[in-house]
Amino acid sequence: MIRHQEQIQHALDDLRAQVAADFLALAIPEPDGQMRWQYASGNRNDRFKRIFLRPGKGIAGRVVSLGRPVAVEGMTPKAGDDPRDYPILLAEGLCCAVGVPVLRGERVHGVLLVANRSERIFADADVDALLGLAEQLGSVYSER
Amino acid sequence: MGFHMLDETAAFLETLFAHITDAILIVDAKGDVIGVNPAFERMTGWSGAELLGKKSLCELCRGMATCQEEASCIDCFASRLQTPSFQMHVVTKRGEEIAVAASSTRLPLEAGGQGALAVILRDTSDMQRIERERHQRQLTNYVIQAQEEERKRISRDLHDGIGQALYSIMVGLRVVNQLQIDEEIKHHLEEVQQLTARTMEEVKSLSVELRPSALDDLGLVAALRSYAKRFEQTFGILTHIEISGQRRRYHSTVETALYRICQEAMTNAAKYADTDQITLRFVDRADRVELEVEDAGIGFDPTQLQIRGTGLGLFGMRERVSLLGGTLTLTSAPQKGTKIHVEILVDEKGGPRYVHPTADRG
Repeated sequence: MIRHQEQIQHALDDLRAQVAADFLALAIPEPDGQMRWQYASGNRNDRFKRIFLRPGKGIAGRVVSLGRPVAVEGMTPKAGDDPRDYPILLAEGLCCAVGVPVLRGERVHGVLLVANRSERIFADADVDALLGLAEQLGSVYSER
Repeated sequence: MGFHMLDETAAFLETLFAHITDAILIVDAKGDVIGVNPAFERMTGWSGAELLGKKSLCELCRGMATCQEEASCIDCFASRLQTPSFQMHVVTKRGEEIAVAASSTRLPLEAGGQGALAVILRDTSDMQRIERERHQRQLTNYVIQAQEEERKRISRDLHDGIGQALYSIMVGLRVVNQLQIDEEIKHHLEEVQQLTARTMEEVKSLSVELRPSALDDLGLVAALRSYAKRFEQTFGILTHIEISGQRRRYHSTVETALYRICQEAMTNAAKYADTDQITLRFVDRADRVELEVEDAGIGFDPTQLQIRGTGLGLFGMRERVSLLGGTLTLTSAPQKGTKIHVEILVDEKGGPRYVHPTADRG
């Protein structure tokens, strides 16, 4: 059973090892309602902690508003695109990611993200494992 | 001076023909070349010997420019007595075509004129290039102005129109939710309230991102401070701000240009620098303002700009600065970070000291 912060951190570390991914992170709202990446595994610095997630923006924003998994592949900054659409990828130098919703009841409470620094297409099994953890986390937050 | 003797006049005219800067081409009534001056030889690369009696006008001329066509033979100047000013396309010895300004005169048959056609040519390509550049700049300025106006309008509409409406909806929902209603409905209402709040926030940030009202209401420094804060929260990059010199408002063209340049430079840093620190400096030195955006990122070789993106952002920044008579310097090297420095001369009222003639003073 996941309850404490260390347990959430362990769960993230375990899953990252299981799917052999570079980076894993969990965004949930702070008490004031602002969404932040509060847990991460495999991060290379603390930039992710300072990011305020904007509603509707970026991968996490899309996961929240669509309520379903969202994937990006082969992302590199290009002229003309808007970096506000992928701040977490820039902060960690990632190029491929899959985000899934963490549900609390019927509402999207948070976002669980798995990502890689080099080209990779996450297999269905990886996404299923991610959804599994998202479900566990969802039930933890639903209890509170 | 006067010409008392005929051969003195002839000698003078000969010298004039040989030394004048304009190129002169003379063809006889049939169109064969019967005379060219040294200026014509220099312009086209042909020597007189290669032309006289050997080439005709139509072998040297590709046609004249009209409203419809670059080069046309319709209504040829050779068919007229006089054509005071037109543009002609001359073929050089190397086979190139150059556009030159020309005038032509058909000489009379009598008094030794023999009905020849004298064509005087002048290379105006420098003038044309300057003209084109000026036109280009005028266009760029117009596009920048129009874009800024449009952004301001949409930003206001979002904030005052949709933003206000959403606020009213939220107040209404709160009132309804205080009535005696089912717990289940109450719960649903809360969800809708939260969604409305989120949408309102989204609309607000959309409006600010298009063009912050602070830029018009509170001025450049306030707008830069709030942009830096938003930037830090968006990308997680620590942003230090250093502001020095007197605090004052500047002309809106200066404030808008500096704000947009700062935005572009910082966005570029977020995208390409892979840095977690940016320093933003703004200095008012009474007769000039300076803006500097410096990151501690991976840097790049400024001579290889095209590697990263198209360099269009940098082009836009330079264009904005040059419209205000300022300078932009980019300093970078691999692993040495990147620094953008902008300097604009301003007068005591905060207006640009030098304004490009085509720039709208707003």
